[in-house]
Amino acid sequence: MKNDLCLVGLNYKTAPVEVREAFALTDPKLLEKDIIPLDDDIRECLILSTCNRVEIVAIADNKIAKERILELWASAVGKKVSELNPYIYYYRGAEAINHLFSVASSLDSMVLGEPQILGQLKDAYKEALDRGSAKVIINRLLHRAFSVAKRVRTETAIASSAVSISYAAIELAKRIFEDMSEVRALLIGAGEMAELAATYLLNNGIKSISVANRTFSRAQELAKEYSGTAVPFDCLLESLSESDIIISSTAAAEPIINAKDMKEVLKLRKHKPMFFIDIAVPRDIDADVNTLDNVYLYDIDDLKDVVEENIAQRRSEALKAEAIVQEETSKFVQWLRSLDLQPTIVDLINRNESIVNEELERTMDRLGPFNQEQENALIAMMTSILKKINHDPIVYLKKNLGETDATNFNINLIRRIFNLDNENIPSHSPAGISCTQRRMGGSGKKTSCK
Amino acid sequence: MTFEKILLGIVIFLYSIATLGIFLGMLSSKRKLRSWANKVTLAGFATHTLLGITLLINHSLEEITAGYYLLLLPWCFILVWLIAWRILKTQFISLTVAPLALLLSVFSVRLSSIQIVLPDNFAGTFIGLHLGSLFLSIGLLALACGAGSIFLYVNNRIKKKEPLADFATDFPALSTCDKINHVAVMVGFPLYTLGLISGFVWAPLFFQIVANPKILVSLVLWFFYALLFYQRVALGKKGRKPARLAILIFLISVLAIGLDQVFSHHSQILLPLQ
Repeated sequence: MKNDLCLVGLNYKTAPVEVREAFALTDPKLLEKDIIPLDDDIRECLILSTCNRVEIVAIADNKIAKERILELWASAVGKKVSELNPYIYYYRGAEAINHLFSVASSLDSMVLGEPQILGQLKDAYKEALDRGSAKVIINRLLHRAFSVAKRVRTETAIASSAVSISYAAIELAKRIFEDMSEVRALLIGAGEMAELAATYLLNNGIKSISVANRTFSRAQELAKEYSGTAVPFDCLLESLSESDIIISSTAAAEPIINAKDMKEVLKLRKHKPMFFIDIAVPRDIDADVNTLDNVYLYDIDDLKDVVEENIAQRRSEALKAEAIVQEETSKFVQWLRSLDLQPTIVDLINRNESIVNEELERTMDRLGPFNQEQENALIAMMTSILKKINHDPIVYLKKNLGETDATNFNINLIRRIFNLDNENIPSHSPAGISCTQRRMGGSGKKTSCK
Repeated sequence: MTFEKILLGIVIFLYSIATLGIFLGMLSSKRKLRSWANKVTLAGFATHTLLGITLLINHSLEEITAGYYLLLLPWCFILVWLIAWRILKTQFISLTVAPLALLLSVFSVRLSSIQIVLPDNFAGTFIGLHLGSLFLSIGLLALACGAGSIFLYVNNRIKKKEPLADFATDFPALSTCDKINHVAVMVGFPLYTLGLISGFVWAPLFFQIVANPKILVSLVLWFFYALLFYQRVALGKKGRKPARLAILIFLISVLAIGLDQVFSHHSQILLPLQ
C-alpha cells in the first residue's frame, strides 16, 4: 500500500542519551536541508526531535518506508544505518497512530503528563507545514493528536498534580492562599531548588519577594534578580512578620527559626497564615513550628512524599488516558480506511453520471425541444435518480471500515459489479444466457449485459 | 392553598435533586455535575421566591401557616449563599446549604397545618425585624459552619501532610474559608443581636414570658456568637479556633430552632388549623 502510515523513531526508553544526541535532528543547519525529501514513495512526512525522542512520521509505501527513512536519517547525521538499527522502533497503521496519540498526550513521556511535548509536537507540525511535507493525512493526524491530548487533559487528572519539588511547594501554597497576588515571599539563603521555587512564585504573580542571606551582597544580588528587596540576616524575625511564604535553604547546622520565635511573629501579623518551605539539609526550621495554628511547614522529605503520591496518581490516571487514546485511534483508523474507498466512490459516481448524462442527452434529442423549465426539471429528476442509485453501493462500501479484509473485499466487489476498471466482459456468459435471464431464472427476454 | 402547595412540592423536589447532585458530584469529582446541581439550587431558590411572593399577594399574614414562616429560613440560607457566591466567587458552600434547605423545607411541610395567630401589632415590623434578622444571621452561621468545616478538613490534611481526598481537590483555599467565616460573623452577630433584642422587647408586650430552655439556649448562643465576634474583631484570631467555634454556634442554633418548637412562647401563637 502506498498510503501506509508509518512511524520510525527512538526515545529515552530504547536509546541512551549519547545515542539520542548523536541521532537528534534538532541542529538548525540540519533542518535547513530537506532531510526526508518527498517523492512517489514518501508522500508526506513529519519530524519530531526533542531531547527525549526522535520520531519520523511518514505516509509512504510500507515495503520500502522503513529502510528509506533510516537511510535518510542516518546519512543526515553522518552515521550508518547499522548504528541506528538497534535503538529504533517501527510502527505502521493503527500502532503508529496509537503511538503518536500517546506521545501527544504525554503518556510516553519521561515525566508522565508533562505539557512540553505537546508544544514540541505543534512546532514540528508547523515546520512540516512550512516545508509543505504535511498534507491531507498528516494534517488530519496531527489535528486529531492535538484534540486527543486536550481530551486526555480535560477528562483525566493526568496533569493536575505537581511532580517536581518546587512546583509541589507552590501547589501547596495555593491551598493556603487563594489570591497569590496578595502574597509576600521571603527567600532565606540560596540554592538551586529554592531559587526555582522563587521563580515559580514570581510566575504565579506574587506581590513581592525579599531575600535574606548571611552575606548581604549575595542577598542584594538575588533580590536584584527577582526585582525584590534584600533583608539583613539580623532582621530576619522582623521580616518574617511581613512574609506569607518563606523558602529557606541556608547551610546552617542548627535551626534558625523555632516555635518560640514564631509565637511573637504570629501576634505581630495578627495570626495570618504562614507557609514555610524548608529545603535545607540539615533543616533550617524547627519541626515544632508546624504545631502552631496558622503555620504550615513542609521540609524536603515532606515535599518528596507529595511528589511521589502525585506520580502514583498520574500513573493511575494514565490508564484512563490510554483508553481514550485507544478509542480515538480506532476512529482515526476508520477515517484512514475510508480514504481507500475514495477512488472507488469517485469512479462509481463518474460511471453512473456518464450513463445518466448519455441517456438524458438521447432523450432530449428524441423528444425535444424543451423549454428551460422542462429541461431543468429533467436534469433535477436525473440527478435525484443518480443520488439514489449511488446511495446503496456507497453505504455498502463503508460497511466494516475497521476491518482491512472486509474493506478490500467490498471494494473489489463493487468495482467488479459496476465494472469500474473497464475490464472486457463478454457480452454472453459461457452458459450462453444473459444477465437478465440468469436473474429471472432463465425465462426473461434476452438483453445485453451492458 | 393548592397552588402554593404545588410550588412547595417543586421547591422540595428541586432542593432534593440539587442535594443529590452535589453529593454525587463530590463523590465522583465531577465539576460539571456540581455546577449543574448549583443551577438546580438556583432554580429551587427562584421557585421558593415565587412561593413567598404568591403567599404575600394571595393571603393575609393571619392565613399563613407556621410551615410557610419556617420556609423563610432556608430561603435566607440560599440568599446568603448566593451573596457569598457572588462576592467571594466560591460556590462550594452549597455543599451545606442545599441539604439544609432541603431538610428545613421538608420540616416546614410538617408544620403546614398549623395556623399562626399573630396579634395585629405584631405582624409587619416584627416579622421583618425579629424573624428576618434572626433567619439571616442563622443563614450566615450556616455559611460560616460550611466554610469552617472545609477549613478544618483542609487544615488538618495540610498539617498532617496527607493528600486531599478526590472530592476535596476543588475545595477553596484556607484563606478563602477563613474570609467567609470572618464576613459571616461580622454581619451575622449584629443581626442576631438585633433579632434577639427585638424579640425581648416585643414579646413581653403580648405574652407572659417565663424562663424556658429555648430562651436559655438563645442566650448561650448569643454569648458564644459574641465571643467569636470578640475574637475576630479584638484579638484578630484566624483559622482553626474561629472555625470550630462557628461550627459549635451553628449547632447551638439548630438546637435553639428545635427547642423553639417545643418550649417556645411561640407555641402560644401556634394553633392547629380547623
